[in-house]
Amino acid sequence: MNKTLIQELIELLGPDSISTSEIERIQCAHDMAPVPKLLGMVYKSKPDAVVRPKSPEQLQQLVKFAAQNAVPLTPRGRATTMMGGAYPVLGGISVDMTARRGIIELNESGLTVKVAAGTNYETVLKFLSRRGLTLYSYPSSAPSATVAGWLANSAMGMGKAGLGIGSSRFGYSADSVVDLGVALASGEYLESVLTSGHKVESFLGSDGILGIIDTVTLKVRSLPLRQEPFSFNFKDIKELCAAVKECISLKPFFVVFEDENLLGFKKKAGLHIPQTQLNRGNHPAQNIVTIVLEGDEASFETDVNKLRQIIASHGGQELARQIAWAEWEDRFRAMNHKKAGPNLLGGEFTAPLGQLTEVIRLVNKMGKAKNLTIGIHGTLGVKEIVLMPQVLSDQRKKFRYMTMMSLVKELNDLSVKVGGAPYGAGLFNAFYAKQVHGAKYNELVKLKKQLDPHNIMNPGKGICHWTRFRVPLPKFAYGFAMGGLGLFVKHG
Amino acid sequence: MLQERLGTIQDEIYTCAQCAYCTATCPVAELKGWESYGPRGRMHLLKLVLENDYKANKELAERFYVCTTCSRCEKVCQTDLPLIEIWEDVRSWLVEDNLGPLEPHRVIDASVAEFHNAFREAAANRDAWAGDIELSRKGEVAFFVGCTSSYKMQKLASDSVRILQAIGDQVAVLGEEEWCCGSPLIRTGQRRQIKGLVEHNVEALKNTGAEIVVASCTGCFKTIRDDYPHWYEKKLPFKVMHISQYLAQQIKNGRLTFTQPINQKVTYHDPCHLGLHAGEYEDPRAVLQAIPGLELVEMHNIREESRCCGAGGGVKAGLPDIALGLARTRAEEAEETGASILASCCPFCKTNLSQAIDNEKINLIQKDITELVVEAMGI
Repeated sequence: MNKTLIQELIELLGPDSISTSEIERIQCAHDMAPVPKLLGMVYKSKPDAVVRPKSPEQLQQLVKFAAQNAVPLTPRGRATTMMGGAYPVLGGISVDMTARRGIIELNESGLTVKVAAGTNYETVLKFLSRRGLTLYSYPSSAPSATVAGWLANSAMGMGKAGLGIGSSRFGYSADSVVDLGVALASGEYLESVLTSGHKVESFLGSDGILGIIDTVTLKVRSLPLRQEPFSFNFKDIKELCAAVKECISLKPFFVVFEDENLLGFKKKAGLHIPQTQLNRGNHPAQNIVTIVLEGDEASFETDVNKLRQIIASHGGQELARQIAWAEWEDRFRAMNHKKAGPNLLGGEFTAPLGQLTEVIRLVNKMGKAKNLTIGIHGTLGVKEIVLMPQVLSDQRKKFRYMTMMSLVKELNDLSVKVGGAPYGAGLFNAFYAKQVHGAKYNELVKLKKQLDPHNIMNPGKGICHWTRFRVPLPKFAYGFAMGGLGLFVKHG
Repeated sequence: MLQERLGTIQDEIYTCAQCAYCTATCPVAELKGWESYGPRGRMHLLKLVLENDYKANKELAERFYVCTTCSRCEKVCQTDLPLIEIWEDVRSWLVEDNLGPLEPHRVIDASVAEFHNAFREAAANRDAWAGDIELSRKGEVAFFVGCTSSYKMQKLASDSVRILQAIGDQVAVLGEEEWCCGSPLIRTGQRRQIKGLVEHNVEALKNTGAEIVVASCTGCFKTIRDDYPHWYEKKLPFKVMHISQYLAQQIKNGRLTFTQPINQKVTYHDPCHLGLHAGEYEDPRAVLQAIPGLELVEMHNIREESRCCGAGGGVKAGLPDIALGLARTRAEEAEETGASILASCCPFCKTNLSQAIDNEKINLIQKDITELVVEAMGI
């Protein structure tokens, strides 16, 4: 963007809503994943300006301006993913949506809540909880993740969006969305997508490449009468997998597990490892699963009994209830062992639930072949599992860190091999867009052409992987580069 | 050089997950909006400086001085980073590089050096608050008055001592020998005088013969309890208590009783230095709830989720508009409870919240807990 354009934008939106200072622009050039500087040559990650729209009108003005001047717009919530979806590839304007926050309307009889896009999940949960209500699902980054950020992230693909806490009982995040307010690339502002002729699901899980979500209406429900966590230890991860597969019949609210390598990372980080009581002594737990059940009094007790039977039949041992509550309390702290790295590198992908044992076997086999300790964190989805295999790494060891990035691709390939997909496309996984979006991929490509013919909405991502030169990076080049780096992953 | 200094905390800088839990809970980030004003943004800036991708400048320094050091960020950090220590260390390194502190902070440093208090007041007037209260330099309990109570909010000092004397304590105060506790200097990264202040005050307090030091200023309380052992380099020869803790103890053991009801709805604001920093949430509430007729009604954000009044970390002196903006939000939250009194137990909170209440014409009266205790004791 040249100075004239920036000046026009300041005049249009007012100086309070736009920043062109270096100190703000560098903040919008990254997400949670540290990216080696070398890649800065490939992408123009730093926007030319950051805009924080404060109203639907301002958002609409911004989009019209961008459309008229062919300026790329990159919507940004709290940027709590690691796939590059929330920062630019071509510069332009970073649209920080966190100024659009707050509860707009609660419909207690209709059981819906309308919120502004940049409201974080924890705020919504607290607001509802005070009124005896709650959400059907929310992300494991709820303390900071914005509502629209999670719903726009491609995760499980267009029309499904995210898997989070509550998904194993209530479905994909898109399943509880009633309506959206969206700014389209044409400059049109759809106050209600539902009544506009467009489909709500198109804007969910499409990485913000079709429009910018401004408001979200979510289904809400009464707080369950009972909701309690139970934690179990398994000596054998295969038995844990078998138990997880079986307990899906109970429709648990949340299931999370960590294998012994991941618990080892926690120990290295100085964290307390839950203890089991075996042979009259305390021993560190090996592979832990925490399962959260909910329901009314009668169904809850029945389900708890069934759960305990399932666990016992697979040789699992129940941990003390205070451990289970502590594990549940820690549901938003999946990276609390990070200091052991201080970086964590790995993958985040889905696999069909039936393949759980196999995919863990393959990940462990990969670790063994490379002489790497891979820790596994997993959560149950709807009919799939989300796995986050990870290794401890250190970005200060620059070359080693670069070479270790090849592991991400190998894990993504592994997910595809077992019938799953990387969890979201964004920028770095856009090579897997067909797998991420599945049958909806072609529809997404078509919608992109229709709704954003000039390609201003989060360009270069989601369904393609562009460089700063507006040249797509072919998948084979990515494979070649990652394969080359992988050769340097030294054993040990 | 800041860059070199950052090398000493590089493990923490690289451990930061950039998850933004801190920024999502930071009241300053909420007020200012822009990412660089929040804790995640600051951690990112430190990494860029460390890696030579950003040069420290006045703009960066302002992002560090805008923080009230309330410690909400530290409470939610999923990688357990000691964020307050990091903010204060970085401020001290900015001072070394002449990028900090803010001008009003320099004035405080100079005042402490010359007058031993933050307000350029005569040391000889340290006891002026006492009026006709008989003071002693020796006692079983030493009351550390604090600069604000000594000179600016004298009722807090006199109420505190009247309560302590009424329950039969032999109370010692230091008079001219009380020097600034050092809190405003530590918080703003000005460390040149700290060791001297600490050593002087510890010796002066030791000389009173007291085994317990009580402070009604949460800044003094936190500083003496948590910061002094580091600077003194050994265990303090006395126990440090905030007056709310001490009074709750006296209620429990029957020494403090109330005769006058206060038939009012009262909401309580947790001062950051007492609550988030020291983990004391119950004792001030216990004191309030022991007062007959008083109905305690809570705000949404309390205890570990309490919102800062905005005055801490040198923000009231350095960036008063930010401080008042934060106080306005907190006062409005208090108003929503329907209470007629907003109680707290920190002179900084009182100053800032009172100003916000006046400016916004909010229907609340701000009172320190000691003020309510004096009323309820009928003294």
